[in-house]
Amino acid sequence: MRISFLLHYGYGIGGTIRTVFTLARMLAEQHEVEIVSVFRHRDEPVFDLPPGVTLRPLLDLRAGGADHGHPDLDRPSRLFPRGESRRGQYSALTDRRIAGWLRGADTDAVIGTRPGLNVHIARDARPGVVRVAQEHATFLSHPWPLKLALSAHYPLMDAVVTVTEADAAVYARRLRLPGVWLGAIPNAVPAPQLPPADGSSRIVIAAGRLAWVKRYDRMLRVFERVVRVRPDWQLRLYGDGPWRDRLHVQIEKLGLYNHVHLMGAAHPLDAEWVKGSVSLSTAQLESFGLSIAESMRCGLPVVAADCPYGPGEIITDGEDGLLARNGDLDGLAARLLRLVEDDDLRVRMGRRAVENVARFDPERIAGRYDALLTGLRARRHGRLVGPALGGVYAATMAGRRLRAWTP
Amino acid sequence: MDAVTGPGPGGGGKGAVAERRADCVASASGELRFTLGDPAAALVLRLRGSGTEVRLPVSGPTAVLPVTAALAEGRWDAYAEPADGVRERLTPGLCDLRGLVDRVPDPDAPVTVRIPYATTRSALSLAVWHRSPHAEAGEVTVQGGRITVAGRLYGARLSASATLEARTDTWYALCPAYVNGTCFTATWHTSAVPAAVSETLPATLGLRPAPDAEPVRVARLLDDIARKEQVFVYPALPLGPSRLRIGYTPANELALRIT
Repeated sequence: MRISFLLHYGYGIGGTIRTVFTLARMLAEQHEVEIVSVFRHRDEPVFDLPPGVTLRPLLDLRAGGADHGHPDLDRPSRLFPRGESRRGQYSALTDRRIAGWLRGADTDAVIGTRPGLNVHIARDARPGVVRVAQEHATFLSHPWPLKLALSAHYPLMDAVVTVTEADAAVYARRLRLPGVWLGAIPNAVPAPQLPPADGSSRIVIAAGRLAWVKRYDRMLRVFERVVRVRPDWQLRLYGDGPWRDRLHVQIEKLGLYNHVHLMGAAHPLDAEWVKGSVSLSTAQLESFGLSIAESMRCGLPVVAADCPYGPGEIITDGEDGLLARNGDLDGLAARLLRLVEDDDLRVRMGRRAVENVARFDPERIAGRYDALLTGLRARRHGRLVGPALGGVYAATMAGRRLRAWTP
Repeated sequence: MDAVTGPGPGGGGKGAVAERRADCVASASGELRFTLGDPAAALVLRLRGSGTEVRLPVSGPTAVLPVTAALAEGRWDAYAEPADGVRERLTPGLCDLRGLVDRVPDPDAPVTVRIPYATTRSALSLAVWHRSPHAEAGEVTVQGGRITVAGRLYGARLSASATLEARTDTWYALCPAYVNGTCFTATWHTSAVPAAVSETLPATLGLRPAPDAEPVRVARLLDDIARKEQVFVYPALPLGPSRLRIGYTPANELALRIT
C-alpha cells in the first residue's frame, strides 16, 4: 500500500512531527511511505528521515526557495478552516498546492495530521483514496468555528483517529459520523537506545515547549515547595518557546536560580531523561503527553496534573506515577516530595513505568494502523464499485427469487 | 519538488543522514567511550586554534579516551579517519553523559574534565579542562545588594586569610573568603565595585587560597553541561547608572560583568 502523511511542517522539532516520523518508520517496513510537508523553511529535517521514507515539501519558503516571497502567500486561504491555530500561515498558495497534490496524488491512503489539513483531505482527496484524520489536539480545545468545520467535513473521512479514548468519546458525543471509523490509537513511543535511569540522581526533569499551556509557572511554584524541604534537588526544564524570558523572571523572583535550570531544546531527549529520576508535568491540557510516555520508557516515574486527557491514560496512578488534581499545586508538591524522599518507591515505580509503557511500542501502534488502513481500503474499494456491484447483486438475487417462486 | 528519501534498507546509504556519527558514554571517572557508526581506523581529536592532535585507535567500533590521556584545555573537534579515505567530521549520536552529573573528582589528581557536546553546526566536539588547583563554583546567591559565591577548592589548601578577587584591566575588587575545610564562601557588596566604570569585559573571579599564593580561577566544571552561560543565569544588581551581574563566561568561569 502507498501511504502518505500530510504534515504541517516536517523539518522541525515537536510532538506531532516526532510521532509521525516514528509511525512512518514502522509502516515503511511493509508499505511505501511518504511524508508530505506543507512548508519547508530549512534544508534538513531535525529528525532522521526513516529508511525508505520520502519527505516532500509543497511550498519551499527557504531564503532563495522557489516560493519565497510568492505574492499569493499574502492572499488569505479560502479552504483552511477558521479557528485553526495555524491559519495565519496558510494562504491562497497553500490552498492551491494542497488541493493540487491531493487531486493528483498517486497514493492509497492519506493521513492528515492536523484539523485544517484534515478538512483539505475531506474536500479534495481522490475518491479511491482512504482518508484518515489524525487528531493530535483534542476536540474541546478547538474554537467553535473549527468545530463547525470539522462537523461538516469529518463525515466525509474514512476514519477519525484520536490519541486518547477520552477524546474519541467526546467526538462520538459531539459529532455525527455515520460510517466513519472512530477510535483512539495512542502515539508510538520508541524504546530508548540507552539503559534506563536508575533513580539515583537528584534531578527532576520536565520537557516541552515553553508555552502557557504547559503551566511552567505552576511547576516553579510546586518545585519551590519541594526545594524548601530538599534543597539538594534540582529541576531541569528542556525546551524552548515564547515563555522563556517570563520563566527566567519568575525563577529570579522565587529565588530558584540555583535549583531550576532552563536547558534549552535538546535532541535526542532520551539522553537527558536518563540523567533524572523523576519526571514532572503540570500541563493543564495534554492531548497525549508524548514526553510523559517517553520519560517513562526511560525509567522515570511521573508526577503529573491529571488534565484532559493524556496523563490519566498513560500513567497508572500509584503504580508508575502519581496524579494530582489539575490545578492542585499543594497536591502536586506533596506527590513530588513523596517520590523525592522515598528512594525505594522511586526505583520501584520507575521499573514499573518501563514495563507499563511498552504498550506504546511503535511495532504495536503501527500494527494497529496497518490493520485499520487495510480494513478501510477494502471497505472503500467495496464502496466505490458498490453501486455497480449492488445492481448486479440485486438483479441476481431477484432472478433467484423469481426462479424459486416458479414452480 | 526536492523530495528526499531516507537511506535504503541495509543502511550506509548517503541520504539525509550522510554524516558519520559517534555515540558516546562517559563514566564517573571521566573516561569517554565512543562507538562509531561507520568503520574507521582512528578517531582523531584536534585542538581548535592549534594543530595539536590526539589519535585514538578504533578497535571494533569503539575508541576510548582514558582519563590519563593528556589533553590541553580548550575545545577539541572530533574526526573519523578511515583506513584509506579522507578524514571526516563526526556528529554526535546518543551521548550518555549521566556519569558526569554531580562528579566528585579524585582529590589527589588534577581535575580533568571532558564534556562532549554538539557545536552550533551539529558536529561533535569536547570541552576540555585540566586544572590543578581548581576552584569549583557552587551556589551563587544574589540578595540585598550582595553577591555570595560558595565553592570548593581542589588541589590546594585554603588558609584562614583566603580572598576572592575580581579583576579586569581597569578595576579590581576583593573580599575575604570564609573557609570551612575545602569549602569557601565569599560575599561582595556592590559598594566594593566601582560604579563609574563602564566596562563590558567580564572580570573573572580568582580565589587566592593564601596571601602569598597565586589566584585560582573559579569555574563550574564538574557536571555534564558544556556551556553554562545560558543555563545558570543569576539576577542583576543595580550599580549606579548601570547593572552588576554575575554569570559564566563561555569557558564556564565565573565572572562579574557591568552592563
